[in-house]
This record gives sequence, structure tokens and C-alpha cells, in this order.
Amino acid sequence: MIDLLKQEFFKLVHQKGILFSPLVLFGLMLFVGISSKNTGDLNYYITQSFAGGEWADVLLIIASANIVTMEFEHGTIKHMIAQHNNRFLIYFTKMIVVSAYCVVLHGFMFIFTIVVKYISYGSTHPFGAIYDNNQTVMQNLMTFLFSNLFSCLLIITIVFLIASLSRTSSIAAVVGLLFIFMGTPISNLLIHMVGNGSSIIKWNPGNMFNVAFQFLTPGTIHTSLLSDGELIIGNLIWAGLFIAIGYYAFKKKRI
Amino acid sequence: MSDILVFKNLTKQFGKHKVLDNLSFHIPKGHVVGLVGPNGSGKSTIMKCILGIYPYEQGALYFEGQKITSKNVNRMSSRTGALIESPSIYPFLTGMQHFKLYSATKADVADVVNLMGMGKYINSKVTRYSFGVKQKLGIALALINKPDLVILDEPMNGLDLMATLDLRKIITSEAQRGITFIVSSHILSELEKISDDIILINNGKMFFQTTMPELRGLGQRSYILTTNDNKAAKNLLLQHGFVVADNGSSIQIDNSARQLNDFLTLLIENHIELLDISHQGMDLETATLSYIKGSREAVHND
Repeated sequence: MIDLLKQEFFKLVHQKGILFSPLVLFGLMLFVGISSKNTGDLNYYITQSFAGGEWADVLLIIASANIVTMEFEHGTIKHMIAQHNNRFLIYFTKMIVVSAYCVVLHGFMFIFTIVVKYISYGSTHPFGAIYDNNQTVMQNLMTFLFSNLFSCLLIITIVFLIASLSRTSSIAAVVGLLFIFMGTPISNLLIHMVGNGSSIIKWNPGNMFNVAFQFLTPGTIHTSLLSDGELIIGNLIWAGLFIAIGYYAFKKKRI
Repeated sequence: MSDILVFKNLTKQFGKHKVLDNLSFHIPKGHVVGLVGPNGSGKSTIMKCILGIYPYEQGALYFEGQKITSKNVNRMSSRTGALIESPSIYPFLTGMQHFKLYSATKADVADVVNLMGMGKYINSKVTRYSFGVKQKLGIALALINKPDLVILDEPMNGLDLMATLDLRKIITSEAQRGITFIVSSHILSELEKISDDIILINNGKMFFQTTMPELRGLGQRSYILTTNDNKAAKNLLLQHGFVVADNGSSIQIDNSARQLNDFLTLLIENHIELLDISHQGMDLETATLSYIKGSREAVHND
């Protein structure tokens, strides 16, 4: 497992796309920061990490799709299996490496939020000012970052599942993006149409992405119809299910 | 000489389709074994079974006398280097980074780079490599961790004349050091030059396993004879009980009873002038083609 982890990290850090992704993230956050200067609630942009969560999700989807499919596209999976003889270990190690990448991205998001805030807004809107939920801007930002980080568990497991079923990384990335960005609106629509709070429909995976918003905006509970605890449990159960199905698809993928 | 690998009645199915059908053969240690067969005959599947990529349904596989199962397949695959179908390389890495990825020691890397003559481009990204150089890197990766068994699937693909010659030398010299090779190739003339043994498979079944001297010996059972009067020579030999057939501008004489002196004496005594005599050549290509053709005809007749 240690060897596999070393190999996966080695491959990850030698990909230009991964190396430059923090720069891309910074550029996009800076763009949002500067273009939001003359809008109303600037603290909102700070606590939302200048849309860094959405950009990080996109980068994560691309990285997750690529890390699985590249082995099949380049035929390197044969070498990996011959060397390690354990497909679950290969699948799981890749998940660990992408998760680590996700944590690093969120670390960069935190640093970039501070930098972009000073570049865009100067010393106005201090991090210590009281904002939503009777908490400081900084506390709101931290809540956002941690809840977004938690929601990435579902993103990674879903994209790994799609990538295990797809032939190319681009298909996996596009389907992953559609699923993740359309999942919540479609889920909200379904819940609204069914209109029954106790309905099983509120446990659909699309609704689980509300975990990224509900901690920061408690009012989201009126849309998700699930408590914070239920959302966490739902996320963990779906993630477990996606890992199981994804691994099955990965194991059965023709080499 | 002991066998490094033994297949015993091995069967592998994809759904209902049998890709390997009750296959049995053995790979002698330190030999270069040519695996021959048409596309889809099961060559790559055999190689993937050895590497533990595919499990198998029935039969057994032995590596150095030990039965290999899904639980101990690592015992075999960890001592096997392979190039299967295409080189296992990442486009974002350099050649040298591939060796680092697989934890090769500096001394081993230096040895294999020198052996493959890759010094000039080892630090370039593999996207800059030509197909032949990628193939070389794939072979180098198969050799890097000092394996006991090396599997090379179509290793001559994309190699130019000099690189093919180099590869032939490398395989021969490594085999002399005790490494066993299983090589599949459609370039049968090249395979013939490096192989000690030949295994011919078709439709997942084994047709034959033989050594190269034995295979060549098959062709020495008849002679091709050209005389100043082939018709008279043929009639004369037939009258004296020889098995003779027309062979274009010459005649073919069966020599399984080893009667060379007898029929030569007979022809000379009857004043038939000998213009040329040779063994009927049985090379790998002829053998392969005749067996595969025979098999198709048998299927067709059924």
C-alpha cells in the first residue's frame, strides 16, 4: 500500500494540470473578487471563498476522472495489477490521493481568500466583523470550507464510479460535472413536486450536496428537508454505496 | 532443465466464450519461448493470466513448481516483467521518471539504459518519443527489476532494423544469464531467430509445443531434386518403390526411411543428370501456416 501511495503521489505531482491547478484557482477567485467589488454584500463573497468551492469542485472532478481513466487509456493498469495484484487497493489508494489533493486545494482556497480579499477589498470588510449566524466572517469562511470539504467525499466517490464505467476521462468529467451541478437543482425540484417531507425522495444523492450550504445557511433545511446530522449520515451512506459500486465496475472493467 | 512455468489444462472464459481451452504447456527455465498464433488465438490472455490480470476458471498454473492461485499470484507476477500489447507509459513523465516510479535502483537504471541504448532521450518526456523509442522504453521497464521471467508481446512492433537487431541481441544475452522469455510476434522470421522453443496456439487450444531444432527437422523428411529429365527420374524412382511427387520444376522425394544414397545411386546408374538437390525447408512460417490451414479445413469439413 505504501508503494502504491508513493507511486500515485509521484504521478499526481508530475502532471502539469495538477501542479498549475492552484494558480488557476487563484486566477478564478481573483476574477470573482475584483468583479464583485461594486456589488452589495461583499462579506458573502468572502465567506463563499470567492466561488472557490465551485472552482475546486470542477478541478477535483477533472482530477478524479483522470486518475482512474488514464490507467486504462495508457494501458498502465496492466502494469499496476501485475505489480500489486489487488484492484481494491489500487482503487482505494487513488481515492486517498485525490482526497489529499482536495484537502490541499481547500488549504489554498483559505490562503487565496485572504489574499484576494485584500487585493479586491483592501482593509474594508475585516475577517473579525460579525456576519451570519452571529459568527465572524472568518468563522463563516471556515464553516464553508469544512462543509465544502465534506461534500467532496460524495463528489470523489461519484466521479470514481462514473470514471470506472466510462472509456475516457472527458466523458467521466462531463457526466460528473452534470451530475454534481445539476443534481441539487433536480433534487430540489423533485422534492418540491412530491411535496412530502417524509418521502424517501429527500434521501436522493442530489439532495446530499446541500451539505455544502446547510452548515453555513441553516435555512437550507427548508429545501433539503433533512437535518444536519441526517445530511452527514446520508452523505456517508451514499459515499459507501458509490465506493462499492464503483469498485465493482473498476474490478470488472475489461483490460 | 526444470520448468519455470507450467500450464495444466487451463481454461479461461469470457461469458460463455472459451478464450483458453484446456491449455497445457511448459516453459523451460532460461529458454526463449516463441508464442505463435493468429489474432484472437489467446496469446495475450495467456500472458495476462501469468501476470495475474485475469483469473482462470479451471486448471492450474505452476511457477517454479509451486501452484499459483489468486492468493499467491504475487509470488509469480512480482518476478515477471512484461510488455503487453503496448508499452505501459505515462505521457506526462520522462523515461527516467518511469524508472523512478517503479523504484528502480540507480545502478539498475544505468544498466538497462545502457543495454537499450536510450541514454540520449532518457530525460525527455515520452510524448517526444517515436513509437519505436516508446517500445524500447516498454521493454526496458519489463527488464528493470531483474525479473526471472520476461513476457514480451509483439516487442518488434515499430522497431527499425537496427533496433530489432539490438533487441535480438538483448534477448539472447539475457537468456544466457538465465532469464526466461516468452515472446509473441507476428514477425515469424524474427521469432525463429531468437526462440529455443515454439508454442503454437489457435482458438485457445494448443496445436504443438516443440523445440526449434525439432521444428526444422520436420522439413528434413523430404528432398527437392532437379534433374535434366524430371519425368524420367520420377518414373524410375516410383518403379523402385520410392514415394515421389511433382514439385513444379523439380520432384519431391520422401526420405523418412533415409534412402538418400539408394535413390542417388539409382539415378546416376540410369544416366540421369543431377542438377540440384536440397532439403525441403520447414521454417516457422511454413509450419504455422500449414497447421492453421489444416485446422480451418478440418473445421470446414466438420
